[in-house]
Amino acid sequence: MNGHDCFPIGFLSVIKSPMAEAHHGTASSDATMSVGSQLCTQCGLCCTGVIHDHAALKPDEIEVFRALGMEVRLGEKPNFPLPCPQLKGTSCGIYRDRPHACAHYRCELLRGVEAGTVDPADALAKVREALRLYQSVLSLLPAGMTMPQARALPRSLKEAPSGIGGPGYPLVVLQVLALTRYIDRHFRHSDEGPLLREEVLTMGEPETPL
Amino acid sequence: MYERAIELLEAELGDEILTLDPQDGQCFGFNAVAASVWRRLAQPADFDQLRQSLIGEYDVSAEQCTEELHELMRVLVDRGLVRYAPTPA
Repeated sequence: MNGHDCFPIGFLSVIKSPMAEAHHGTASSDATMSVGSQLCTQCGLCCTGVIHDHAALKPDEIEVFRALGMEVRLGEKPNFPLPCPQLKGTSCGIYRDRPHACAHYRCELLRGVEAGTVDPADALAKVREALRLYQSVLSLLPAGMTMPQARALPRSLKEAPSGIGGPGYPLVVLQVLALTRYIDRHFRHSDEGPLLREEVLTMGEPETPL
Repeated sequence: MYERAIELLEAELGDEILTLDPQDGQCFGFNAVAASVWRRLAQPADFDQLRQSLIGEYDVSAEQCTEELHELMRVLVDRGLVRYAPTPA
């Protein structure tokens, strides 16, 4: 388990904003939802495994989520694997009872919108592009394969598992990498580090590692 | 002359590209300017052709462009993505 691939618990727990109430849920009407809330309800990517492999659970949440039939992984940092089975479309099916980590998570894009440094329309365009890339990847993967599993696929054609893409396997891998790169650039927090760490060849401007 | 030493699969992500070598699975990202050089190398080109192309495309001094292009080409050759063949005298 990689702590960097986990929703942090409580990193914004002292902040109570309208977003914290509306995030991913169905609370409130469209008219009163903040721009950030609307962004979340049209996205849902943080629940899909596209941004993280798993989400953290507080100790007192473990039994609650087991009772819901969810897989819970114990250990030093209890968590559940993503995608979350409670995700319904782009909304949370257990919104009122969602884990603390989910309720308080803000992706980098949302943080930017809330801070006023990212234009909401630009943010929405990035969400739509990420969703497009995600759907494209899903259409190439075997049914039931998750994004964390896809990210762990071998990259070489020589090691290609049977049943994924055939001779087009490298294109499947490339689509997964492209989606992951897009997520790193726009959705992952800089302090979490990127999911892709390959070398970026640059000229003329500084660049963060993939 | 510089030329590509390998065929890579490419995915465009805005103004940058992500590449994959399907044989060994190696992945590289190219930022916008490096991507421009890589695209230009679809056909063999010498250093001056590459440099002039960049100067025409970006607001950069000839001196800075030369310095940074030298470094990029060194890296591309080191990584086995580009080969350099001296032009016969």
